[in-house]
Amino acid sequence: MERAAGSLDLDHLGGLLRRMPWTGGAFLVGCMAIAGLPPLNGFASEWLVLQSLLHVALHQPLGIALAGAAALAGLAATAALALLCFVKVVGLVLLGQPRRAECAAAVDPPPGMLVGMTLLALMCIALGLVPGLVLPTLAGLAPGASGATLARHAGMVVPGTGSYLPLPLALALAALTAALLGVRGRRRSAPAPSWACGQPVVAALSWSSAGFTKPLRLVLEAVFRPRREIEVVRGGGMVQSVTYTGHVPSLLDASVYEPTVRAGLRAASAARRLQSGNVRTYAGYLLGLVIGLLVLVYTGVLG
Amino acid sequence: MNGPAAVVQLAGIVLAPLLPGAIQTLKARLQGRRGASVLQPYRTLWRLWHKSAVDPQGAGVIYRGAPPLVAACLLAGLAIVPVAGRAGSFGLGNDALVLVGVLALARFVLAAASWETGNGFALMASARELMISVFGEALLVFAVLIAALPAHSTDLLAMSHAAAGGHIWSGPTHWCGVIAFALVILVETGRQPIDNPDTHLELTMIHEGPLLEYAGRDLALLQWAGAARHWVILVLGAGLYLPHWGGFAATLGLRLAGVGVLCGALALIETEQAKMRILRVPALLGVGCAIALAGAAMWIGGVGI
Repeated sequence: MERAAGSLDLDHLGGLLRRMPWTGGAFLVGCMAIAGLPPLNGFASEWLVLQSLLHVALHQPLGIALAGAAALAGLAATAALALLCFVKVVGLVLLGQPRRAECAAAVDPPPGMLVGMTLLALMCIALGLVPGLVLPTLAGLAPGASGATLARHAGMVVPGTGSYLPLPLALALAALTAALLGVRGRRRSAPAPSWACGQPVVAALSWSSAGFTKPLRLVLEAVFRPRREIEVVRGGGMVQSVTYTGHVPSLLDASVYEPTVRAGLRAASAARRLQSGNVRTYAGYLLGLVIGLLVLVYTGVLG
Repeated sequence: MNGPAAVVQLAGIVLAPLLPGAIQTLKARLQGRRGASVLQPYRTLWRLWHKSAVDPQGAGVIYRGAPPLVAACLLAGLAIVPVAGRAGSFGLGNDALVLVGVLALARFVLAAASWETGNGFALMASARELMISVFGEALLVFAVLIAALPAHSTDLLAMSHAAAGGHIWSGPTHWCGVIAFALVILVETGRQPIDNPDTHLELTMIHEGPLLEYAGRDLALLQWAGAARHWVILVLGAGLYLPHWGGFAATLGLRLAGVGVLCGALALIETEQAKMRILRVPALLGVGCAIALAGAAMWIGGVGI
């Protein structure tokens, strides 16, 4: 994609599904799988993890059960977060209008480069449709797996659940969509400009990656502590220009890595003071070390 | 044996638009207006079905394919959710978490469709809906967990059987679950105080936003899907969290009465409550999560069973 569109910056792509159908299609399948959508493989794994956490809450003593319940809710929220994130990636990269000339001219790479992606996308779909075939094998690998094995089944028929049957689900969704397309019939449609309250739709109105996650950043302000600076230049009683910069500092960077790096550098500069480069100083260090060791031996600390 | 249940499940296809219609009519009465008839959503669907569609600039495969796909997701949802403790054999299973996944797929498709046209209002609404869903999803699995506790299963049939009878109401856990699920209903159906379904101001739309540019049969499918979402969630709520006992006929009657009561409650809330500031919605849902977690803790700890 970078080769074709010349950039990997989300805000510089767009409209690639139409121009690179194979690459875009594989990308779309991958995004949907990672966002945990049925009937792809991501949802099969997500379903299993959610079920195991839920059954931890059902069958374990209070402390562990509550940890399981909290993790269950956390994972569900994370899945929704992944959906938000990947619909944004799909939207910015594959859909909408190209944001630069290079994107508008992008084409699919030669077949050799498509094979890998297509194969992976097909595997996402295949594993998603028949996850039950690998499930007994995986269950046998679990530490402390009992002799009782799960029956091999295309879907996931696990006791204590209502069963996840992706193959019928996928077929049902496909058949129902096809039937509804048929019912909708030949589509009579009128072209229209996109509604922007009567303004002409210009490129500056298109949404950026930061805009789409703004609501989430606002409600999680207490956690992320985003910084923003708005600079308004006034002149002649009118606002001449407004510049806006904003970024979300990484919490881990600010609270863990930066203090660690600072402490490390301080320790290093302290250590450097010992390294004077003078031979006599080093001889002094050696003498001190030998005397120190002798004292330790003499007092019996070293046995 | 499951034939009648399957018939009722499929009847949801036809009956679903009754629910928003009933809520709107009740709300109008509560506000001292006469309001439209309960059948108004059917008339709207009929009218839309005979109009031509609109393709905004940039509309492509995803924009055109989204309405049937979203409606198909909701149809699958109708097949997964049992009625009156029974379900037809549609071969899709009856798992609560699969239902969560199917609803997420519908959300994804609609959000992707708004990205395709790049309409600012649709995208703003999608962004908000997905933000709320981050917290709503956590609450939803908590509600599923509480209903799964007595059943030891996420099978909706088993969960519904475990919630039957009066003994479940003697402990605090089920009551906590009721509160959590009430909030889930507000989130999933897009009702006040979380979203205002009546709004015609683009800036305040959440669930209506991605539908803004659709017209004709596309809009009819999406509006039906919205009504089906009401049906799925309310039938699920009545099945898991409202009292029911007795055989199939009695349970079915109680379920339908329960759905009616829930519609009434939604109309009442919409009359009494203004829409909440969107940035405060996560706090509301967080309180719901805390209540649900406390409820689960009481059950696991063995309080009041």
